[in-house]
Amino acid sequence: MAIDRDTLLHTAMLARLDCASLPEPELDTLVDQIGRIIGYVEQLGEVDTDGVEPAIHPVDVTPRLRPDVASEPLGAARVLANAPDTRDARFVVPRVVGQGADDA
Amino acid sequence: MPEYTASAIAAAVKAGERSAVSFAEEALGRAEQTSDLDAFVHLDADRVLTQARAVDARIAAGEDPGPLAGVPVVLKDNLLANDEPATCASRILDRYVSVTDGHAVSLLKASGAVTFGRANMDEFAMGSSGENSAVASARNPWDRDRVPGGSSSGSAVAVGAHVAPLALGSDTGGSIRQPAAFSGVVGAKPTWGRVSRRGLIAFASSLDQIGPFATTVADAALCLEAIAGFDPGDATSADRAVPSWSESVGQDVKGLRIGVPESFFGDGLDDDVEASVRGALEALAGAGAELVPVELPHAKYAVATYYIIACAEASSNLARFDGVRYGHRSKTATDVLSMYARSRVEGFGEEVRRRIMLGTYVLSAGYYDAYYRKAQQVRARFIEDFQSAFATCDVIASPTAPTTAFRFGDNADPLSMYLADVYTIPASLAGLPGISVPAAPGADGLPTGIQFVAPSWDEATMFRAAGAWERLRGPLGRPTHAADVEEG
Repeated sequence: MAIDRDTLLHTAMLARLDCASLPEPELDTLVDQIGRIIGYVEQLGEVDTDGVEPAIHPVDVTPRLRPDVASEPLGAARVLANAPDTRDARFVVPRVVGQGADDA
Repeated sequence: MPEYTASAIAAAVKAGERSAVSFAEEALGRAEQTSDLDAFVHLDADRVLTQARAVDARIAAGEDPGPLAGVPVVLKDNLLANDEPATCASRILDRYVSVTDGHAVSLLKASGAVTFGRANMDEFAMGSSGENSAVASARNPWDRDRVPGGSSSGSAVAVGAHVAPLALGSDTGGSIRQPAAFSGVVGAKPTWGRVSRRGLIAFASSLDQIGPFATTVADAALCLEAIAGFDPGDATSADRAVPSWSESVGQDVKGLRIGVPESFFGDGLDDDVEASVRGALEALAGAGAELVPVELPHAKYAVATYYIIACAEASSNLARFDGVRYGHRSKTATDVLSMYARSRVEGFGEEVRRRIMLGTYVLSAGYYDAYYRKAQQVRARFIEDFQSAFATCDVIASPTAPTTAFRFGDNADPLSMYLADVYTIPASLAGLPGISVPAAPGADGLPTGIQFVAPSWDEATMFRAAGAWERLRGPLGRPTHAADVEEG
């Protein structure tokens, strides 16, 4: 099953990947490749899985809570160490509210 | 010293026969000699020597640094090691420096090992050749024009070229076992949950495991013993004691039932690889093992099942790379949404973008049941298949990969590259431990690998079969591009 370009671009938007900015030939190749891979994986439809519980983990995992005891935090310095832009102990990002045309 | 192995190095260091610094200097020299193989993304000689000096200081103070005292161990570049770069061979993390040790890395250091550089890899562990690295691809130590396998390409090369006796890699669908087969070394993936994933930059959380590369099965067992064990910081870490796997390596195979899935020996398998693996099986039978035909009926769906699950989980795990707290932030972002979208498209390579897109698609509304949920149900069938097979055998043997190392560019189509993992993926889906051990080389002199897969938590049987085959096989030749050594 081929995937159409609009679906691909919509998926890219969900994935926060600016694929609309890719050169046309690259975009066409991506549409083709993803379409073929999806076509390939569709063979799973052949498998009888009636009543089978999905195996989210390969082995049984018991959810475990840790004791409610304070432990050593990473600390602001380390948390911020690789940040592109910081101020005080905060990450600085472009404007979130009122974004787009408002800001020149 | 006759052998450049972890066991021999640790013994020499602990006995005071040679200093850890001398081994570190030797390894650095070997790395320099083989630098054209691009095994490393980063190698900081000062950091290596500082660690080695610390080991020597402990020896001088009469302390025991641990079972891997002074042993250089290369780290795949997706394993966090405090104050060292961790790029996952991606532009999106090209300036990232870890602020902590991952759990397996901290256990490695506690065993006296000297962490040795950052190994090249396929970007975010997505690949089966090493070609998806954002820096140059690593090269096979047996033939520079061929891939070493992936995604733990540099780890396999560092050990295969005799730079270091040990390396850590990660294996999601075969990313330790397959490059081990292509590069002529031992590579092991433990049971899922056996080694903590805390500090392994995540690709697919229900599949990822850290494991060792080594030139001998005994060294692989020694390394895995050092890094395995319960970690309360990984919610999927198994609370199970770590057995002494080293003791399994020397056991004979009398009465061992080796399951052989005939469907793994069909179309697509290189004649040379088949001949090597069948030769190994005959030798094991001659040593007292019993070969038992088994079936894994859903094996043909392995690649499809894996790519849905792995890509879905990857799309979630890689969502954190958004330019906010670390990693590449686009300079052309105008608002927060464009910061995410542009940082990610600029920072991620083609294969990573492809897999994120696939994963997002199969998880999206209207498709989740047909793809992701279905794949998890098929995965349950895989688990059943193995359980049935292990009712009649103790370990399952097969080729590790369908071919020997291919040339750069041979598998440019993504789907054809995915099929390189056809024999390693089933064990990944079922969370089972698997090891690749070199078998007889093909007619072209290139390495081949035989894979042994054991039931969950039964790495002991895996090491037993692997060790026995290694003894029966005898020594291998030296790779063309291995570091030269002056035997002293």
